[in-house]
Amino acid sequence: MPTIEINKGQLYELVGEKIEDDKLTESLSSLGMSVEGKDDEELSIEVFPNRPDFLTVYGVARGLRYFLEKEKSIKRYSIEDYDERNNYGVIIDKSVKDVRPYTVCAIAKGLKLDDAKIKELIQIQEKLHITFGRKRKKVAIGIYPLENIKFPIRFMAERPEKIVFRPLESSEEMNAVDLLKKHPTGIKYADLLKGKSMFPCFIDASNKILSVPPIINSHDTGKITEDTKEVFIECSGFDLDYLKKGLNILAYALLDMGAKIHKMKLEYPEFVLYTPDFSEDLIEIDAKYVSKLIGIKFNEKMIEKSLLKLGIEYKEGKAFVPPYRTDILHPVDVVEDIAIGYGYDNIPSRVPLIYSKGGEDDFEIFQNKMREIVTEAGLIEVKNFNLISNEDAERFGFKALKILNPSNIEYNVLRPSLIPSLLSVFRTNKTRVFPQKVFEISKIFPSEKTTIALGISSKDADFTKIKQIVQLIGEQLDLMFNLEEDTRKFFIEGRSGKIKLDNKEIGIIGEIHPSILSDYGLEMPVAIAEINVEDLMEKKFS
Amino acid sequence: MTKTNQENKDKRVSGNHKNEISDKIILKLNPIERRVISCIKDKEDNFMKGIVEETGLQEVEVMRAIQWLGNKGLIRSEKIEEERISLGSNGLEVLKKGLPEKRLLLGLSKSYIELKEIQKYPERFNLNREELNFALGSLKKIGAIEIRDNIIRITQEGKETLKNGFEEEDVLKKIKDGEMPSSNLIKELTRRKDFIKIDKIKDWKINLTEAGVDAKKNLGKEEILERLSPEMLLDGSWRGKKFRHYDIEAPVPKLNPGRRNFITEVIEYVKRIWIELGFKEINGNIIQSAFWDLDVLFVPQDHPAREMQDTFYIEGKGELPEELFKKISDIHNDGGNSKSRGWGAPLNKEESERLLLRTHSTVLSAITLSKLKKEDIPGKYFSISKVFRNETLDWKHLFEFYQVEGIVVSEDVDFSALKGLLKLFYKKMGYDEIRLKPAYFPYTEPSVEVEVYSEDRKEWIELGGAGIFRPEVTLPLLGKEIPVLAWGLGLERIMMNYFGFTDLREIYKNDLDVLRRIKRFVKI
Repeated sequence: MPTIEINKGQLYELVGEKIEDDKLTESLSSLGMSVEGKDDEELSIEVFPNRPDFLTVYGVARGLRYFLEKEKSIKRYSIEDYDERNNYGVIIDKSVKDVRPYTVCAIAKGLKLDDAKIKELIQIQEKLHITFGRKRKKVAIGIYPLENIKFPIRFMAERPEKIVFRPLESSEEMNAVDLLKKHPTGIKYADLLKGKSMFPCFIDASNKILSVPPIINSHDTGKITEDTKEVFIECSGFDLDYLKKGLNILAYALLDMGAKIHKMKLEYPEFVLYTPDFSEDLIEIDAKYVSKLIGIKFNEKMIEKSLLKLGIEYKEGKAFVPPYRTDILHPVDVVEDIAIGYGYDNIPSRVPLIYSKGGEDDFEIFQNKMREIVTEAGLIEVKNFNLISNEDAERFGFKALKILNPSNIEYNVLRPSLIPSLLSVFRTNKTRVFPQKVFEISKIFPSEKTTIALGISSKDADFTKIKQIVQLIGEQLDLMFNLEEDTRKFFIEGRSGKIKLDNKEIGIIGEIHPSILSDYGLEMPVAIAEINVEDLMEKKFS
Repeated sequence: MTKTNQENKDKRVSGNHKNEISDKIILKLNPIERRVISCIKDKEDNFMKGIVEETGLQEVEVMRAIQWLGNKGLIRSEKIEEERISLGSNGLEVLKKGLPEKRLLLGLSKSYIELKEIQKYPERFNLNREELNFALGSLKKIGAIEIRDNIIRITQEGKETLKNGFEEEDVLKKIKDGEMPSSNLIKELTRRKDFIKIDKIKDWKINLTEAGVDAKKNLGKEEILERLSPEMLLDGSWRGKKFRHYDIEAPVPKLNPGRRNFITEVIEYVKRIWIELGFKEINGNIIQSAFWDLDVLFVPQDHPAREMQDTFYIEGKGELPEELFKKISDIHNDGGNSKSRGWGAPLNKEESERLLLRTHSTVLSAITLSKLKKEDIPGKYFSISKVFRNETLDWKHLFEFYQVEGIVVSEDVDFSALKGLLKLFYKKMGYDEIRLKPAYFPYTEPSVEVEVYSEDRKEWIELGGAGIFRPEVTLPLLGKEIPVLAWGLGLERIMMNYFGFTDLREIYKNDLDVLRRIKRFVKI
């Protein structure tokens, strides 16, 4: 989950008062943020992925102002309409359709940027990129000083070798092919444009390249400095509604920074759009539905009050969802906000009286019987991971199901048998008291059949000792096992067998070969058996 | 009754009492104690080393017996560290030849001699070079000789000294005779090469106590049986004899019985809680398709958790139920027939078919919901099973762990009921206080994080997630919107807390000492 760093002083200033640490942690947690670390000045906050609007200090402060009831009503921001005379427009060429089909844009004016504010702006952009933008794949954000741009801007796709510009913080011009090969940012995000014959780019009316999204801005037209007062912002990607929300989150942050936002005209081949669009989604909320889901009776007043704490206006059965909220997909999402506003702690608990017949799974019952039989025979139950190393599987000649992306190489395949795990257990316990008698009952792969493995390690561990236990299982389950000689290489030749039940092979038994024992560094003989428990149960109840 | 009589009577009573005690003690003596005490003599000092020699027992056996006899009050033992002085090789020689100083003075008393001369031929005065140098230095220091113009002469004091004799020789003589002279000269003699040796001797000095004397008297008066044998039972030879009494407090070797794993014990207990509440156990495969594990649970296909670093993928393709795939795809795209807006993208079939190790047992709940018939509702289901996350193994991360999964499908459940059930469960697990905090899971709304208050650690610990399934999950699976409470709770943290582990890996270490000795999971 994404984490953001927040300056406490700035947060207090934006909220309008100093908040005690405990109360702050508590309130943030109610809003779905958890404080991961703090000192006197900074807070490190983890934000749930469904609330990207909390990825900026402004969003957090806004959330807190509502939650701490500093706002008596919903605060709506005004926005400058599109003005023909400014000509703030972007023309979207049909060529982007297969590369990066959408962009939404805005103009912000009246920024007072210093070094710290520029850093803040970059942090906001980066945080939105990582999670909300799925590492720029879904959303890429560009911010440019307005002064160097001639309108209208065009968003179009071009052959990469024909896109020549000087990338941000680079000393020389290059084309977009080289950009992906030579420039550090280009290399990092090269995958996002890999295999495309055309690259998207923003070009202004004087044919200057502004940027190649989602990679990088031009140094000449896309570098923000302390002198920058006005900026052009664009979000490009694949999902128009999603992009609009992203732009709104950014625009709200800029408004809270003191800027004025101007709408832009976006001319798509098939339609025209004006962004940012601060219109609010209307969701119908039925008090009965709310009461049924939460479990206490909610009236209109309670809903209104609870939702105001979450920054949502409620009027006559309708909730007005602010334009920066991305997580409201269904009325049920509003219900959750009502519950949070009301306070999870204030909702009473009750144990519902619903009749239903409970019970343990039949196979689980049978497995427990197996446990009973072998523990009574003096065996100790071990529990190993389902994953083992391929090296261990291959030692026994097993072909194991591989994990495609293991993060631990000692655990990179699903175990095809429990026997390698038992030998690992003996290795772990080389210095413990002998005799060591263990068993494990678990699934093997890929069949996902459950087997029981029995192992004895001691000076006198031999075929007889392990066969006695297998025999005991047969006796107690009233099943007749037969043994048939086996030739598996990990057993000592002439001292191993297949365990059969009505001619069906259900297990193996034998003394482990000394070469395997020495691979595991074991100094005591080991005798082992492994039996398919599902076959036993099937036979028992057939 | 006269006073004397009274006194006598008291004495007798206490005497009888004493005998009884010593009889009891005798019965408790094991064979080794018996052998040891039998060679401890009354009214004299006995030494452990002597006893070892006499009994032929090992030193450790004798030491142990001494300790036990001491505990029973039969002997007093005292650790001793003694210095034993004896003559070294030079000391023995000096006793025969006289001190080198004496030899030099003797020679000088006959005539003076040149320093160079004597240094060249010390054997003329029956000295070696080393003895000569020492004698010169020492005699000069006490003024017994003078050296002038390279000539050595005896002085008047020297003559006196010779006449009076050297005290060192007396001391050495005494040492040879086995006396331990307490002279200041001992210290000086130790500085002279190989004159005397001082050995430190460690031993135990043992004396019988009064009770010991009594016990010894009675020892051997009657035969005491060590073990009851089948032969004795047959021939009745045990009759009229006593058995040795055991020290019942003495430690005994530990047993190593068979035992179920402590994890199994915990799981059994948790199972019982849910079964008592009328929950039915569900089970299922570990290998699942992304469709069942994630798509059905309304996790968007571009959700970060689906990435390789969070989920274990394996080769192969899962089979998709055609009709349901279509429904779920519609839900993802635009909410389908629900009131939801959806995620704005239909399902990519290839992504849905990917095979993975289940990331949560909620997949088992989803499969269960898809199979429910009308008559199965209301229903309550649970599962305690392993789930997998692509984590690097360390003290606070496991790549596979248990999840306690539960669902309640009923028109009569709500947030308040969810809270009640979780509270009840954790009370049974030993946590009286729980709290729910807002959380986010793509498949539940409201979503909560469950925290319990740990009395041991004096802090809130997060143990799992819960919520009410979203309509986007229930509608396609059940055909209508019915509230379904759901939770996925951790088990390992509870085990760590209960068993006092500090590293998650300890749970799966399989150290047999731990598995044999760990306390039972006992809760009521």
